[in-house]
Amino acid sequence: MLKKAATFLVLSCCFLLSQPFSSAKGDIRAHLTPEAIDIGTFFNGTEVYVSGDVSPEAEVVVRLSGMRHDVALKKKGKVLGLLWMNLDSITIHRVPNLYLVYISKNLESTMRTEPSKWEELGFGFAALKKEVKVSPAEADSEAIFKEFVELKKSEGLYAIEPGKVVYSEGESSQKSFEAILQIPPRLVPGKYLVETFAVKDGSVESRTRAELQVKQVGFPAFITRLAFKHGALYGLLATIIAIAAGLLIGVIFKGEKGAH
Amino acid sequence: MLWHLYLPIAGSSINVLLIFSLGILVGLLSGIFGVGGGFLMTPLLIMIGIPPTVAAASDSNQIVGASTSGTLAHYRLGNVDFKMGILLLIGGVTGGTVGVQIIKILRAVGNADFLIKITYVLMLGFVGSYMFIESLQALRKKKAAQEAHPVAKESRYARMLSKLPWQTDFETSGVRLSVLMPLGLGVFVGILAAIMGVGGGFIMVPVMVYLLRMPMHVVVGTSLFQILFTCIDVTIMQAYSNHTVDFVLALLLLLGSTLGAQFGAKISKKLGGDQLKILLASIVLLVMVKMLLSLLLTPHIMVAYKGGH
Repeated sequence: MLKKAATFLVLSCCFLLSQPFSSAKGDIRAHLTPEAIDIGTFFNGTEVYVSGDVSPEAEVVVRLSGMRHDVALKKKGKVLGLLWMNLDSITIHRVPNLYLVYISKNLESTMRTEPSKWEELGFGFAALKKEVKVSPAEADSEAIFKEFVELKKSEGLYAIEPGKVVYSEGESSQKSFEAILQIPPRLVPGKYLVETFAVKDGSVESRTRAELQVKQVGFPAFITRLAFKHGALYGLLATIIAIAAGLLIGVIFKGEKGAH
Repeated sequence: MLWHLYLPIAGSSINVLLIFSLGILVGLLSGIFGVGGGFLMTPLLIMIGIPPTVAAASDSNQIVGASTSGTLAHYRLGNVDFKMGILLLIGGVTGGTVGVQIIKILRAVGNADFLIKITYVLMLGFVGSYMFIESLQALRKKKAAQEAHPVAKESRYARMLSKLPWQTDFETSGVRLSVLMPLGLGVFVGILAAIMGVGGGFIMVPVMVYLLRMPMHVVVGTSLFQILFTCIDVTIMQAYSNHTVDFVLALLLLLGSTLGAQFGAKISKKLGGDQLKILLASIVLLVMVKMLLSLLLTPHIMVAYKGGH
């Protein structure tokens, strides 16, 4: 609660400061809080608060996407007409590791009633499909990409969240919007992108983009550094501590046994 | 309050209490039956969202702790045959190295995954059914005629065993065997374990019971002793070459499993050898059925990440 109040205060200040620059129709301004995420020992996902203002006629889309990388997959198929197995290897090139799209209620109805118009805007999974490449080329890329999206959805890493961008009365002629991005606990450190889009008459009128840095700090950062920079030492330490723990518990239990 | 910890290598956060209870469960199994429990723990970890490679590697780190604790407990009960264990271990390491090469060749030739899974189901089915039926019969016989062990008929297998060179006494197990037996069987289990990608405890236990004819209690202790060394090797290798050991995860599992292993050893001593065998056989059969179902049922999502085993 306190965090939100503080956020609001910061936002209001930003808003006031940026007021003189308010400009042409359809322009969008947005602000992130926080601008970076630290993954510490007790990290269990977090929230990023996005807010800003836009011209009253526009609809807002907020998109959080992760680094692009190649993903190696196995396609499941039947062997001997009976047994399901992981069969052919397939690679999907340049897919984001995280893809969360937050949209307003009005856009949700567009998505429902006019799916083609929604896909033309370029935020849905069909639009994402156009940006990636599936190899080998002879693979049924449409079906595979669809299954891949299902896999990501089941991990909470891909989602379209309708009705999660809400509006309120803004200063002067603008309307304000806000969205709370739910950052999943399964988060890989790196550079993420938060984009906001003003959509009007079936096309994107203007946009903003901001980087969201995610990094490990404290104990997790220490462990990761040790594991990747000094692998052998790390493995040795891990086994020694495991043996010590086993012996310690053994000794404690011997003491207990002696008692009866 | 929910207790969460972030796992730096797995790249996800988990519930501390959940992991701790998983550890206790698998530690109990390990202490009772002398198996590492990898065949149970790794799928459970994957189910709660740990990447398969990290799950397998961190699990072997955890088994180091559980088997240290279990070996110590069984050693105090006089259940560890070090001589037999070391011979099996030498064979196992040799077999493991050979097995890894076989897998490489199979992968190059073609559908290795298919072969691995079929081997898995067949091995589990065969070992589980055999143990189950054999110990059920033994239990019935025991009721009919108290302790009338079927030593009477000298089988062809026993005669063959006595003809092998380098016969030696294994005092703790109370058997006289050729040194070649544990060495050879160690190689065999090592190859299978490498191909199937598991520690091999649940193959090694039946091998010791039926082919080396060791008493069940000594089998459990000796198996744990040997698993300890196998998993030390695996942990260090995985940490060094693949960076897949999540120490935070392993430590949480450890806390549970070392405790579980102590209780397990006590339970093991209380149960009779045949009861132990029936229980282990049931678990093995259950895992086999689960595996078979996963092969027969249409999967929910038609793709999977590459990299599990």
